[in-house]
Amino acid sequence: MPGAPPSDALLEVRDLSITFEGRHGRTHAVRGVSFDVAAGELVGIVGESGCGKSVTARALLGLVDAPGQITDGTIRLDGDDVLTMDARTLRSVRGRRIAMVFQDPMTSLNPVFTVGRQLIDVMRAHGHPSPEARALELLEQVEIPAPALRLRQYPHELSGGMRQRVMIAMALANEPEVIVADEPTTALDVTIQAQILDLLRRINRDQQTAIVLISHSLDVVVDVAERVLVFYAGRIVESGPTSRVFEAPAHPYTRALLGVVPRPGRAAVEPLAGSPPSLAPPPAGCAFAPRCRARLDRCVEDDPALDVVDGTPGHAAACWLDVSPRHEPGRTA
Amino acid sequence: MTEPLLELDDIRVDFRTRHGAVRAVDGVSLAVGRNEAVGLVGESGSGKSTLGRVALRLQRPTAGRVRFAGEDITAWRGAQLRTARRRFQMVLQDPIASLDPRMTVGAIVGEPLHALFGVRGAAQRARVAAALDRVHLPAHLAARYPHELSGGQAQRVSIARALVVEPDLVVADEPVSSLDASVAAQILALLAELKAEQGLAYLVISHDLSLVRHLCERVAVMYLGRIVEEGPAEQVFRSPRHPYTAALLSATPGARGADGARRTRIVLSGDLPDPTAVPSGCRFRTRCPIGPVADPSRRRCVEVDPVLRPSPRDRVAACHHAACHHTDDVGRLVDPEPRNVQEES
Repeated sequence: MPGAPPSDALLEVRDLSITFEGRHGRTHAVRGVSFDVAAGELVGIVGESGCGKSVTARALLGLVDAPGQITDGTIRLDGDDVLTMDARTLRSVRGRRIAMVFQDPMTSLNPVFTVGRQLIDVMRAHGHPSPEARALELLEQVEIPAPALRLRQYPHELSGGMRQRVMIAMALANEPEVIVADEPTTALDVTIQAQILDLLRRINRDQQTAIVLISHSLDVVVDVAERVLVFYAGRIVESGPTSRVFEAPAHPYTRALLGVVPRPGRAAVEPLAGSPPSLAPPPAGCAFAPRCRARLDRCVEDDPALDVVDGTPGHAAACWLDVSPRHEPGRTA
Repeated sequence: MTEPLLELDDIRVDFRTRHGAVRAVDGVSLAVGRNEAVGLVGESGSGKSTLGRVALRLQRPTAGRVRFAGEDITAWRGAQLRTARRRFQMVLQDPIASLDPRMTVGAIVGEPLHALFGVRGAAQRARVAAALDRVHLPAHLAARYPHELSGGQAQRVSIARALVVEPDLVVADEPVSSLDASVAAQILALLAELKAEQGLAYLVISHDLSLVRHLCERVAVMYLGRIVEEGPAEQVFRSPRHPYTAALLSATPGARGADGARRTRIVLSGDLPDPTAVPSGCRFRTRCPIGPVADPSRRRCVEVDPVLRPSPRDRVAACHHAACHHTDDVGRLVDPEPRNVQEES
């Protein structure tokens, strides 16, 4: 795969395709997605609603349920194919080797059990020898004030930020190799969001836990991830080192996405017209073509594959245009 | 500021809860001029939405006055209040949830015409069509139901509903926060266009600083029921004078300073204090990066509640106020190594 890191990948996704059967036919939510996550890496996945990022995240844990169906592809965790595992093996992998943090901690935590009980249960499920002591240690690790008190409290007694810290503690409990965090800060206020992102970054750095951070906000990912994958209409349209993608975006969609965020010093927001196409069935050509200002005839018929962007190792984009940064108008080489 | 349209004067709102009395808004004054956009920024629990409800007369203040176009409407009710409502309207956060699922778009947009002016039939349909056109929606959408709309279309419908009575002021509570970035940008552009073309005034309530910065001339930052900083938007964002504003700005993902460099991220400790037990002195002191937590010698922050006043550094700009005893230190917080200021301009 162009732009892929060396094959020492911890998590290796190849040609993943996921469809949903619905009243209006079959929606191709994820269409041949391939990417790797190396041990200890922090990778961001960005895209708007319906781009396939969350269902991809769930697939990493074997959590795609009917009417969703994985129609093609492999997901290997350290060589073991997650998609062919039986239910029992999957249960032993989830939480122990790969764990997930969801967007809304209030609905992911059980309201009738204390925080301590839930933390301990997560560890007991995988046969941890001394879960009680470890539970306290985990709350300290995620910097919850008065951890001994919190263990005895119920989720509703905690603030939103604290609940998300508890979710992160639960994800960390069995020392997984990978944590998948799906919009972990979306429900939180900005100052609390900054705290949680800070915590994730620290966990990644100090414990070498690989993190896949999924967000609708390019800005959240930019501040945290080393590498970023930009999803659009079920495909990866651009991938590369975060700083590179942010400073010299190659795909017109990434450029537009960066352009629509109001920033100091930018005179006017230039909205991206229209909305993503229906994926039932997906368009024949590039899915972004109807909204693309630089569209060529070819774009409507032929879907471009992810290809290396000239000059930067690991930077790839799926576009027929010559997307090399040196050709960007108004930019001096 | 231009001639004041909406004036909130020393507003206080108390709520009784199981855990004790909560002062959601604690003595706040704010004005919105004609054709002016004012941003009210703060996090959950700051009191910004309650203040917005007071402005719309949906919430009766415990104390203080609400004036609209010079008239004191604080105690207005019934028919009298309905006449005032012709002139101010609102746009809510979640467009799908705020539209009645059993009504067509045409009926939703037409309802205020009927309720406030008694306009029905062909006259109503014509004005609905004009309102849909103003928000760039095709006329045939009038026959659709909310569940058939995308999030962006639904938000345009709620803007059309607000505009159909040709109000002077629109209070928009988190108008784009439930939308994807590209759709949010479209709505933002629409709001800016309507302000320019129709001479609308906005009170924009949001946690999103970049939205406010883009749309508003003036901004007020709320924390735990108080305005802690207020001033021209560009100036507040370029050189915040309250440490909370500085922290909010730096916490905004992708935040950039005036020179385009990434801002030093100020990570505040802890959560918002319990609103039933507001800290003594400065209410921000328990999380303040330059307050007594960092420097215990700063007793004044614990003992004296700071009032909004111009920063000593901004003698010229008297319209920029902050409620902090140590405004001079905020600049250092934002930019630990100040660059040559002249280079920026």
